[in-house]
Amino acid sequence: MSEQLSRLQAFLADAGDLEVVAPPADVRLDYFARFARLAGAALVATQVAAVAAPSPARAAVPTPSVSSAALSSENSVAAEKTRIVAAMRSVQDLSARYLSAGRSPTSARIVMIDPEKLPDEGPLAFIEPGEVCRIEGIRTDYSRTDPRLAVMADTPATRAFVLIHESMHCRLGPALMNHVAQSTAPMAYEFAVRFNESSADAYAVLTLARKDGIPAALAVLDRVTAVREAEMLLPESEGHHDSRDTLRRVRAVLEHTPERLDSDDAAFSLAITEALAGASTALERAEPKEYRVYLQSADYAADMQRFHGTVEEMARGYLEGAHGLGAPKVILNNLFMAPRAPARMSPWGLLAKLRPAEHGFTAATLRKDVEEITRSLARDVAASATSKHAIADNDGPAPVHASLAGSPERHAVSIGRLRSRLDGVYSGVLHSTGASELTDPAADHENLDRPGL
Amino acid sequence: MTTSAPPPIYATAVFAQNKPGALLSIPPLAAATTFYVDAGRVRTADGRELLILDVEARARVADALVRDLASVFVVETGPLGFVRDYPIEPARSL
Repeated sequence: MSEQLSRLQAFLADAGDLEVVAPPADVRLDYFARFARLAGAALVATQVAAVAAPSPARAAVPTPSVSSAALSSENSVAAEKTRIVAAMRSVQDLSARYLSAGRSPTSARIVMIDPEKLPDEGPLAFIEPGEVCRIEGIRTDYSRTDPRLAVMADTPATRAFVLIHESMHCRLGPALMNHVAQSTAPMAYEFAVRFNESSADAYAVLTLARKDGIPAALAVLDRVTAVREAEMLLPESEGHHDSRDTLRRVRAVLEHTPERLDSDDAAFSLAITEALAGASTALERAEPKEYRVYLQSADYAADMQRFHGTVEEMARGYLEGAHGLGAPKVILNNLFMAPRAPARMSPWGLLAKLRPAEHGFTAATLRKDVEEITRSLARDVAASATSKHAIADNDGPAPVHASLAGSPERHAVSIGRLRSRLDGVYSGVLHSTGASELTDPAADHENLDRPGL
Repeated sequence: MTTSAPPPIYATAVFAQNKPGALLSIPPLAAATTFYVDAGRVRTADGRELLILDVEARARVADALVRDLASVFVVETGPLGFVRDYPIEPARSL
């Protein structure tokens, strides 16, 4: 702790009553009086102590100090293992600090990607049965593979951003994707993917603001904005990661009305509402040619209004526990589809990804699947009514979808990623889904300490 | 062409019943800074003045700055409470 912080703590210790002389409210809001009124100097002292304590997220990550070329092959392997262990520990610390607050239907399990094995893979979020949010690709060194992602992984704050971003996909992604699969609105998918990424960016920045303070969050916001702007310039960009409008809105909240961020629930709700507005603006600016007429129609306005209402309902459900977001209702193991997947996912394609296909499928079988999903969703509604208390308490058995009950296999659904190329999602599926990946004996990094297990 | 002074930073002055000195709470700043004290006035490195509007409180803080600079703290406070502290030092000689 710095000498100044020690003196500040001494000042607050046994300070007695505090006399607060605040400027008039029309000059500025007085945050100090607002929170100090509750518990006086003791509360401030507690907060100072929390800030002064070396947080796990700020702890330096040990890195090898000697180049691997100078080491023997054996030492090289040992050094690499040390680096991976240190990196895993760093992620574990980040997870403890940033994902512990608030209610979550999922328990996070974070898996490092071995850059040698998957050199082109970025961060991914998966939901697994048992309400586990599996996040892959939180690693400390992207420099060998992706300079853009290296920017997002070179400080504890930006690594935390990636982690929280992916965790947001686990919180709302399944409900969102289910909704899209059922929606008949022409642009449901186009809007949903933008909202999915925007809300994850917004939630990550707002969580950082609550955990580390507004200046730290603004610093990360600047970097994320630069990354998103660079992404939009890429020729392969489809605009799905265009969260620039949402980030502008989040910045306005942090700079002008930070009092709106007064609880974890408020951070989550703000992420939803700001991303709804930001993603709508981004979608309308993108104005895909094939949707130009639709975008100017009354149908579009009505569809968007319905979509916004549904998403807000999902968010309320998440906060109030009246949902089963953590229980995967879908399976992503469609290896038959993956190699020939189109670059753009239509709702049909999405649905195809969400269904196992042992013998391939046709449009007719997909329609049959839709009917099955519709029926299974009706069963879920009934099931969620009976398990509502368990979910709300967050300590009961995890609700399991009928189609997964008793399944011996490990299935997962990929619901979001920080990377911009959708085709990469499919290759990620091939690499990352199923029991083989989880029990690969050759994956040494998997045998190391794994947080959350 | 006119020039204008940089906007002030309005501070809440907090005095403790049992301790000398003062705590000056300011809203979140866009960038970290150091505060410098010169002739009873407190400014950032780029010249923004830390302003206490209440005359009596301003006089008490000025007195504390003269008696013991280390007994005055500038802290950034957000809606959730304490965010960080800022260094406060005597003005640099030019």
